[in-house]
Amino acid sequence: MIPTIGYISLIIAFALTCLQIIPKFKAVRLATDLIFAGTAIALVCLITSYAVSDFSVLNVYNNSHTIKPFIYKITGTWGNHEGSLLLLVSIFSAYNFAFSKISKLGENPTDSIIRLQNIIGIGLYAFIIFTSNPFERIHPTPEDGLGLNPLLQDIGLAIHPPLLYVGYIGFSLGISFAAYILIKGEVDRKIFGTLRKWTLFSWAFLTLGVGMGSWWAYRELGWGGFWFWDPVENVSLMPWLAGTALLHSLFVTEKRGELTIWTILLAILTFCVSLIGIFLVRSGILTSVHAFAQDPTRGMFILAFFAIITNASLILFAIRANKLKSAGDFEPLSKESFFLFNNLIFTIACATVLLGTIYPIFLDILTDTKISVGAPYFNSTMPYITLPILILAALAPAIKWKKDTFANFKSDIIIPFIIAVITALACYFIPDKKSAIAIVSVSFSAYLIASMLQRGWQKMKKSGKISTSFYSMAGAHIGVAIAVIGITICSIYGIEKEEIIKLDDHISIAGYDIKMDSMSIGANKNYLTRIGVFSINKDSNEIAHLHPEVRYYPVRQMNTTESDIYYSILSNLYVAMGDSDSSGGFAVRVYYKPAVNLIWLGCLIMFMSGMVGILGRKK
Amino acid sequence: MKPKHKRLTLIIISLISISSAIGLILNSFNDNLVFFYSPTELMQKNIEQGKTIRIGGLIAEGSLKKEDANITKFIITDLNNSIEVSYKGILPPMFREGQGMVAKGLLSDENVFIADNLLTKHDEKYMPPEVADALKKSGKWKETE
Repeated sequence: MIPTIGYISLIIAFALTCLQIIPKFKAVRLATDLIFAGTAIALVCLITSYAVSDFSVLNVYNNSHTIKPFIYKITGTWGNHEGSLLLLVSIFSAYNFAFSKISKLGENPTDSIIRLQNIIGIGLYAFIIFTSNPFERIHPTPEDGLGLNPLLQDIGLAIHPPLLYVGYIGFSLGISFAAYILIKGEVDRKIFGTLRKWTLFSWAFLTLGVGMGSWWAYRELGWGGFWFWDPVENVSLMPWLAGTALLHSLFVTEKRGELTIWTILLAILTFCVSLIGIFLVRSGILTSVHAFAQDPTRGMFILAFFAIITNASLILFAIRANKLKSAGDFEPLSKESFFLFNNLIFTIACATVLLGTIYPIFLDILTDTKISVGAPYFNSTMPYITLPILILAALAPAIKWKKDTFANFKSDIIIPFIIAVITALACYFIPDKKSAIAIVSVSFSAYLIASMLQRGWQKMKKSGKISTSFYSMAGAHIGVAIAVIGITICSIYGIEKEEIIKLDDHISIAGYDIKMDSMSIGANKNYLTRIGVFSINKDSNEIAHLHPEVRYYPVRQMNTTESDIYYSILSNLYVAMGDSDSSGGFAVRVYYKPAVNLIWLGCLIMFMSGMVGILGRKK
Repeated sequence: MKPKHKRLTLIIISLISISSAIGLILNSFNDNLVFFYSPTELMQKNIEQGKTIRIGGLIAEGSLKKEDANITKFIITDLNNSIEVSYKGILPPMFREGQGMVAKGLLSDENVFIADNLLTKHDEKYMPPEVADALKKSGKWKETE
């Protein structure tokens, strides 16, 4: 009964979406409400089917199990292809609903943009209904489900897909706004301001989603890393890079009416790279941890959808872009040109990741040669491309629009420069390991943080208060700098050791002494486990006990490694266990991860800064 | 500055940054391409020893041996040809006989593949596309369900 209600509501939502694009159809707002309601009901029905373990639904049977913990039954709803798509369309309809309710653009623009959104909506709803129906039934109803993949039973994993989707799909508003402006043929700065808020919202959630995904991989995969340049990670990074560029160019267009055409192109491209992400992940082309499905019809469907949306919007752009007026007379030394270089760098960074991610796919299709582009490619290009951003981000807020002279902002750079030099010297003399890239990266970040604080202090002194938009900007920049410091220190000064040790043996790492105290075997509801107890000593004081596990899940005949982490403010100690040998030795891997917490702290600060920017009212 | 000069300065700076980025990208791109071979292709093609490659296939039933807690030896097969693999380190989750997997590493003198990275899927229903392809090429692919 419940699955049937869900399926019918979904079909009603699809039918209304199709109606929306007929120009004669007038009840746009009402239909938007109903589409949202229908999709939300469908999602609730699927979640309910999971909660009560209704195995007559094929999707539940494949992906759930009666002995799964309740919270993971719920989150398991989107831990599979069909369910995650239903979540995606639900978020999409929620965006349209929210936009129709709070848009202050006036009747006509709002309705037109919603209609344009529904063109994308038709593709999304058709995809789920015709190729990936989550409510498909099976007869007879099986006794129990198949799905109990233990790796997916983790709270970090459960939260990050919804966050990422809020990010990805929010960029669809960008392409609809762009299409609206192109069709209308005139520029209204207010529209760009509205789009900037929506983009900021999506961007903030995308940042949080990328951070959360990385946090899950760090804790759960047992490899001790936070980023592997896995294609699926890359496809979440590309929209982030493009979206960051878009936020900045929208700011210029909103405030100055400049870079209009570029901003519109960027709005189109940002959603296109989000679609590439959805296409690559959902078509099963990638060998990756997230590839759910290998159904060629689905792949073809998304590819066709992607081609239609991309081509249609780019053709529209090519025909109509010259109608738009853009102011644009600025000196090379001006705020505008700094924003332009910000955009240039983010676009190049996005293209670099795109190349490394899709080149193997093209080569495979064209020549049947299978290659992969390894992490070294990204590691040897991305730092050099992105580090200059930190300096631009530090300088841009202090520089005047249109035209500035060096003498004008000379005094602003002295203090941050001194701080950067001190940081660089500290990076050179304090650690044993000398690394040029670490010196550059950390001192640039210090420069950025110092510039932001100094600027805030100046504003405070001058006018006695600081606007929310400054808090938002400075906060996001500081968040980036903190994350960069974390990434750099952790990658360069991290230590890894893998040894075979017996009971009471020690491993010493970065001044810590790790001793294996005991090893025991236990059983839980759905797995068997071998738990080690390790004591951690520093300066012969015992500071913690860690309990890494190796679990064996009989239903799935699989092992998982549950690492255990000692968190301190400055660093993490990470212990993972492997197999045992006949003489009583256990493979143990320990990592010393300095500053790794800063990565997620940085993401969190960026997210909160984004929220401040949205909630802040303009004075 | 005249508008023409302004634009020219911006364009020149942009071109310099774009071309240095392209140089950087192309330079490291070719060095970091890792080719994939099935065990049959490994036999047919003469592959340089000591070059990082990826191989893939099924972990042959009954081939899994532990030298000690940390060194694992097993055979990867596409059901026509096979190759011995040696891996030092903690095995990834989902590693078991009969499972499809991809290994990154290099060929040693004695035709043993020294793997430094093993990729198995997080989901046992899933077969890496490379492996599915290798099995199709060797004619042993069975459509299940």
